[in-house]
Formats: sequence, C-alpha cells, structure tokens
Amino acid sequence: MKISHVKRRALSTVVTTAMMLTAVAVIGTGVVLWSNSNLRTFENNLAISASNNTNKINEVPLIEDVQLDPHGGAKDRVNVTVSNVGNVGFRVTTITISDSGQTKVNTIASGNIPIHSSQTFSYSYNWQSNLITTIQVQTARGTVISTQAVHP
Amino acid sequence: MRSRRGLSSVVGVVFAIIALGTTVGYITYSMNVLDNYNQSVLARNQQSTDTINEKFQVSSVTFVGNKLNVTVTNTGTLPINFTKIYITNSSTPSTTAWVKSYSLNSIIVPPANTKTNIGQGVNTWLNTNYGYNVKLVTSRGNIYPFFINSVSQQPLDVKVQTIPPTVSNQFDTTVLMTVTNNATNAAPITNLVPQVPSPNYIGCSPPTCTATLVAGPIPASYPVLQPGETATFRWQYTITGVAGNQITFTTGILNGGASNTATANVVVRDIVSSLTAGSALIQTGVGTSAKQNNTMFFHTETNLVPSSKYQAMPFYADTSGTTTSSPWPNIQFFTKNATTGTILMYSGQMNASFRYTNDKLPSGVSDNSNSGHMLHFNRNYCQTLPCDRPIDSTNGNNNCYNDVETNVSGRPSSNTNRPTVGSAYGVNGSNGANFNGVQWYNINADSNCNTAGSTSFSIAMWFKADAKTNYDTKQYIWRVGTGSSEYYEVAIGDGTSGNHGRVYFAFNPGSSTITCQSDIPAGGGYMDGKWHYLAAMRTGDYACNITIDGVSKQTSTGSGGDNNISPSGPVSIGRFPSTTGDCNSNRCANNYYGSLDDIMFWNNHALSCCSNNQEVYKMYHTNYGTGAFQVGFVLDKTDQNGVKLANIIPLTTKSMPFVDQEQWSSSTSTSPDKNYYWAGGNYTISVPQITLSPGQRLNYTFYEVSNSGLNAKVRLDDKNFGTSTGDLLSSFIQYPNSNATMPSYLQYNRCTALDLIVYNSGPYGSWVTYQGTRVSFDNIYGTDSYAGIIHYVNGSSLTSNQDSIFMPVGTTNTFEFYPIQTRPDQNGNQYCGTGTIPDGTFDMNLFISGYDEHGGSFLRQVPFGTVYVYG
Repeated sequence: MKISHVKRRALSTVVTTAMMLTAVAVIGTGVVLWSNSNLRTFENNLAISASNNTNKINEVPLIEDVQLDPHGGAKDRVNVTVSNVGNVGFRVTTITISDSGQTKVNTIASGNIPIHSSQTFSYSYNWQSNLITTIQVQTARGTVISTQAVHP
Repeated sequence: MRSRRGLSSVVGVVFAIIALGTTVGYITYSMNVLDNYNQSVLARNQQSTDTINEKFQVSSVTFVGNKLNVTVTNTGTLPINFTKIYITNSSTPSTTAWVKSYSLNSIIVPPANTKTNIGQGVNTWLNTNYGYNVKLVTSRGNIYPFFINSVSQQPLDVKVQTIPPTVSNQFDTTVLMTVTNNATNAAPITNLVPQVPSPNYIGCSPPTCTATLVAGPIPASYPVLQPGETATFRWQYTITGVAGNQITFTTGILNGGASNTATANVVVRDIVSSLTAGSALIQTGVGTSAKQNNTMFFHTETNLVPSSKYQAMPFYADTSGTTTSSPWPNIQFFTKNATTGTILMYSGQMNASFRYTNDKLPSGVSDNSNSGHMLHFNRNYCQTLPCDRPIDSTNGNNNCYNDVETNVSGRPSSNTNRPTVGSAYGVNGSNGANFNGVQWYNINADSNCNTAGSTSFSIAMWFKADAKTNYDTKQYIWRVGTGSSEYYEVAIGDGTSGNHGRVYFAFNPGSSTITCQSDIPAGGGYMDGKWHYLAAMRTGDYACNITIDGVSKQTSTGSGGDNNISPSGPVSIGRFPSTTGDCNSNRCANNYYGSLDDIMFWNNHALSCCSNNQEVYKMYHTNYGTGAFQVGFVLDKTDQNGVKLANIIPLTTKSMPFVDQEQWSSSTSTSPDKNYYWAGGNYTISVPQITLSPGQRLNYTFYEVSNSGLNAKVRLDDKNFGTSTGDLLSSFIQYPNSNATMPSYLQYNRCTALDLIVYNSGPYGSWVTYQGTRVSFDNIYGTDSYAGIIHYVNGSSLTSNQDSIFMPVGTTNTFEFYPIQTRPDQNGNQYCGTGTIPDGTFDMNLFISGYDEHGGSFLRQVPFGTVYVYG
C-alpha cells in the first residue's frame, strides 16, 4: 500500500510539473511576445513623433516679402514671397489672406521649397489702401507663420 | 525535487532576461531618440540666437551708374551672408510700383568689416530721381528694410515753423523743418532730401509781396536718418509786403507721401516799437558784448588769465578778430573762476565751433602765379552746377573764376545735362561731380587760364570711372580743341578691348601728337569704379608725363616743329567738344561715365614728379574732404592760477573738414564772403558732469595734430560774425546745461562811473532818451537788486528835457551812468556811498529807449550776463 501510493504520487507530480512548465512556457512566451509587440509599437510611434517634431523644429519658413501690387491701379493682386531659412525642406499648403472685411484661403498644390530657396506666390485679392492685410502661411507639417502689410 | 526547482528557475530566468533586455533596449532607444530631439532643439535655439545676434548697419546708400551702391557695416559678432535684395519703386505707386528681387551671389561680410558696392552687381537701371524702398535679406532670414529718396509709404513726423513768424517789410525769416524718423517699420531713411518750400500768398500776390530764397536748404540732404533720429533743414527767405500780408510755406520730403508735408506761416506787419526793430543799437558791452547762455566765445584778451592764455566766456566776440598763424597753433582758453558758489556743468555733448580756413595748396606746390582753375564743387549753391574759382590766393584773378561761374558760352542749357554734384560723388567725403554719359560741362577758353600755348601745363584730378565691361568709344574727361590737331586732352579707353581702362594724356601742337598713356591694371584697368588720382603734365614742347596715384606711368617725347597748341573752343569736361549743344539721347558718343573731383589746371607749370617731396606726391596725399587735418583737444580743471587739478578729457583727436579759402559769395563775385571763407567746422565730444568749486577754472586746449598738406588757420574773437540773420558766429564752444551761468571776465569798479560801449549797427542813426535808458544789476546769490540812470552819451549829458546826441550808423558810443543804487537817482557824487551797489556777483542788463532818424521808436533789452562788482 505504501509502495503503490508512492508510485501514484510520482506520476501525478511529473504530469503536473509538465503541465505547469508547458503553461508557464506558453503564457511566458505569450507575455513576452505581447510586450515586445507593444514596445515595438511604442518605439515606432516614438520614432515617428520624434521625427515629425524634429523636422518641425528645423523647418523655418520666412515671409520674405509681401507686395500689395497696385496692378495698374486695380489693387487686385497680392504677391507673397516665402523663403526657407531652415535646415529641412517644407511644403507650403495654404496661404490665407485676410483683412477686416474679407478672408481668402488659397490652397497650394506645388508649394515645395527646398532649403535656402524661396518661392513667390501670386493671388488675386482686392486689398484696400490704409487697411491692414494679414497674410498667413501654413506648411504641411503644421507650421504657421503670419505677417501684416498695409499700402498707404 | 531539486532538478525540478532548477528547471523552473532556468525558465524564469530566461523570461526575466528577455523582459529586462527588451525593457532596457526600449529605454535605451527612447533615450537616444530624446537625445536626438534635444540636439535638434539646441541647434534650433543656436540658430535663433545667431539670427538675433546678426547685426549690421547700412551706413550709406548712393546711386552709382544708375544702380544702388549700398555700404553695410557688420556690427555684430557673426559673419553675415547677404543673399537677396528687393528694390521697390515707390515714386509712382499707383501705376508702376514694380518690385524686383535680385540674388546677391552670397555677399559675405565678416564681423567688424564694411562691405561697399552692394547692389552694383544687380542687373537693373534705377532713376536717381525716383524713390525706392529697399530690403536686404540675409541667409539667416533677417530682413533689413530702408528707403532711398523715398518715404512715400511711411508717415513721418514732419514739422515746419518760421522764425520769426512775423517780420517787417524786407526782413528775413527762417523756414525750419524738422523730420523725425518715426516710421513704424523701424527702417532708416537714406538720402533724405527736402523739398524747396513752396510759398502761397494770402491777401496779396507777387510782386506786391514776395518771399525770396536767400539760402538753403541747409543741409542739402541727410545721408542716413536712423529710426528715432531727427533731421533739421532750414531755408532763409527775405519777405516783402505790407502789414497783414501772409505767406504760407509748404514743404516736405522729396518723394514723400501725402502726409509727409507741413506748413507754416509768416505774417508781414509794421513794427512801431520792437526789440528787433530795424533801427537798433546792438553789440554793447563793458569792453565786450552781450551774453549767450550755455555758450562761451573764445576771446583773445589775455588779462586775468593764467600764463597769458586766452579768455573763454559767455559773451559775444568783441574785437576785430585775430587770425592764428598757419598751421593752427596750440591755443588755450581759460574760463573765469567763480568767486562764490559751485557750478555744475551737466554731462552731454560739447561742441566747439571754429571759424577756420585751409590753405588752398600744400606747401611747396606752385600756385602758378594764380593762373589756372581749381574745382572742388563744395559751394552750397553748386548742387546742380560745377562752379569754383581761380587757383590764385589773392582773389584778384576773377577772369578764371568767371570762366567757370558766369558767362560760360555753350554750356548745357538744362540741369539735366549738367553733371550731378554731391557728396556721394566726391572723394574723401567732399562734393564731387558725376557724369552719366549724357552730362558734360564747359569752361570758357581763356589765354590766362587754360590755353596750353607753347608753355608747360598740368591737369590733375581725382577720377572714378564707372566699372563697365567695355565701351565702343573713347570717353573724354578733359578736351580742348575740336579738330584732329591743335588740341590737348585726357581720356580713358579707346573702345577696344586691348585698351579698355587705359588713361590717355595727349596734345597736338599741329605737327604731331604726343601721347602718354597709363598701364592697364587687371580688372578693367582704371575703369574699375574706384578713385584714382591723375596728374598729367606737358613737360616740354614735345614731352609729357602721365601719373596715376602718385606713380609715373609713362613719359614720352615727340618730334619738333610748331610747338604752339592753339585750340579753338572751350574746355569741355566729360565729353568731346561739340557745337551741337546738348545730347538728349541715352548716350552721347565719347561722353564720360563716372565721377570727378578736385579738378585743377596749372596754365604754365608742369608739376614735379614723383618723389616724396615733389608736387605730384603732395597733391596725391592731400585731403580736400572731411579729413583735411586733425585737431587734438584736452580739457583740464585747474585752480585760479592755471595749475592743473584734474584731467577731464585726455587728448582726443578728430578729423576736420577742408574749408576753401577762395569760396565766393553768390552775391559778390569780387570778394569772398566771410561765412564761406571762414566756414570752419565743429568739434563735438561727450563730456562728463563737471563740478567747479570757487576758484576753479576750465582749461580748453586745441591744437593741430597733423594735416594732409593743407595748413589751417583759425579766426578768433571777430565781432563782425553774427551781425546778421543766418550769419556764422565767431569761434565758440557750446556746452551742456549748467546750474548757473559761467562766470565772465567782466568787472566793474563800483567806486567809478559805469561806462558801457554801445555800437549802432544801423540801418538808421538813433537817439536814446533819458526817461527810458537804464542799467540794472540783480544779485545772483542774494535777493538785492540795483539800477542806474543814464548820465552821458559820449560825454554829453542827458536830462529829462534833453535826449542824447545823435549816434550815426557804424559808430561806437560810450554810455555813462549815475551811481548804481537801490533807488536810482541823479546823485552823481555817491559812488561807493550808502545805498550803492556792494561787492558781489550780479546779472547785469541794459535797457535802452530811443528813436531813429526815420521816426521809428525802439525799446531794447541787452543782457550782459555775470559781472563781478568790486570796489
């Protein structure tokens, strides 16, 4: 009785141990894989976020010149020169021209400006003498700069 | 049991290692990413700091060859790369208003360096009469806007006033315009040029009433007006009219906007009784003249001054004047020591204004027996005309002067075709003449002044030929003679690439042409846009020598025959002599492009050349501009005996401008105007606050440290200055405000009769009356005051029934007074007696009541300032 009792206990212990080990291995592997996956996701998100923010920091657009062009007396044209004085290229997506009585949003399809370059954008806009005109330039990365001009 | 525990431990350890490794790796990666981000932030901050620290100033902007010539000084600590320039025509904004941007091909200016000629490489053509808004852009994104000739798009603070606003018939008024650069974009304004005031007559019309411009604008322009700075322009007008007539002057800025103008009125009125009536007794004094606050005039009296030096005191000049020997010697002036009280002279700008004049030529350079020409283009009214004088020093040879100034046959009929004169076109900061390929000028042919004949002669000048790649013709700088023989000339280039930028000097007596030519330095020869000094001499019948920048470039000898050069026609400057008049096209054949200055012609003399003590060398090193000579200044505080107690300003040297002793008045062609002859210049320096205790003096020492060859002599204590409106004052020093008037050297012995010297400057003879003529003394350090009644004029007594004797114009008269008392009366025997003025320091004023020979009456108060009374 004593011997057979010992044998049963040994078998169940082995089986139990094997099951425990299997469970631990499976669960452990799952946890490791899950945490790896999460960390990879975090890593990717971090890399993308850091890259975007770094580029945004290095992106320095400058409104170099605003010309409220009399255009032969019609006063219907505004020329905006944007230059890149930063370390990365950027793309101008919208230029908004406004004053107290009107706002005009101009969407730009080809606004790429490489570093140390500039580009002049010309838009029809009925500006008024002695009225402050605000020009706002937005890039694809979300950088927004603005300036004001007035024609006596 | 042991082996099972070991296996689970191993498995656990494996998982732990994996988890730890992954976590450590993620953290490490995160740290690296954050570090990179941090580096970007730091780099961006550095870039922003660099952008802020990028500092420069536009020190001048001119037009050269119808292009901008911008001079920029890097005042920061970083090199600056100018990448672009925007030029906007603002003269006609409603129609043309073009804006153009140009790449500057990376113009780099190191720290503390100056870059000139910015804009000269731009492919554009600018009208020098138009206004332009200009912007310079740097690689770091800084934008520096400024205006040239134009303030049309910025309202400025412009104010105009007339001084005085009411005048009598035929009196002068000064129109004073102040312009403050308060533009909201904080941009400097360059080449600020005022508009000549336009008179508008109210209640009358010419010729019943008139406003005649006598002088101005003074100055003609401001080179740069920084934000917050104020420019002042003035014009002097003579007003005629009857009482009630009003004249409105409207002025503003050339190319300014509609709001950049202002107006001021002057009203004509009859002056029955006035402090400034035409019949006036002026220039009075106890051996000197009236007080001037915050100003001390340099007097030549030496009494009461340590070491027999000169007096400096707040009274106008009172002698006929003294001219120091040339070169300007060491001259020292002492203020009078105060006897009581402490004087505080506050810190600020001190300005010493000297009346001086320079020699016309360096010592050792021949004046050629006063035969020839000398053109410096420095006269105020020579802004549109070249004008000058003979080379002589005696004012006697007016023929050569007239050859240039008046009766010049065949000269351009309009200013458009005459060279543009201004400081932007001169060497060493002085005026010069610019020729744009169309402009030219003539000097009359004159055998006494510029006809070469059979003798030697010399032509010398500074020239700056425009930098051009090539021209299809020869450019004539100086040419006499219209034919292929009998001529002499100076020219540059001949239209071929092989001789581009070469300078020629040639003459032809009829039989052959003798030519001396320069070398051709790399980069366009002498057509390089830089100043060079040319001296070309006919050294013999058939011999010549051409020198540039003091170095002989070629001597040449020809063959014999007729040696007499007898050209026809005038001296043409800037073109080949033509009988067709002006050339109104874009380019006249053979006309000169560039600037000329200090043009001189010796009619019978070949300059010696070219060692250090010879004439060409001396002329090359002579500065006829803003640095003709250098004056040193030392300010010490001393005790009453002149022993130095402290140095306030150590030796400081400043450059002084050339003053041409032969500059002529526009109103008299026969004698020099003293205001031009002794135009002088200012010596301005910052001084700290100075405390003068009783017994202490200030010792001003000025002396000439060096000169470029032109000695200077200074005029002191000349009462003939300052006698009319717009006149210069005798040499003086103007100091910042003080808490009390500086002590004077005037003294009055109260135990004797007070005699005052009174000068009648006209225009009418006068009498003074007993009833209204008094002298008063106000105790500066007390509350007591005293006065005296007029007793004698030139020894003739005045009474309540008898006025003074007649005092004709131009006479000096002595006014004697009864004793100075607390209650003035006619007791003439009480000097030093009871109730008379005691010892002390008083502010003295003379009050004169009188009438003139035309029936006008006048009242006049003459302040004498501080007088020390003793007895």
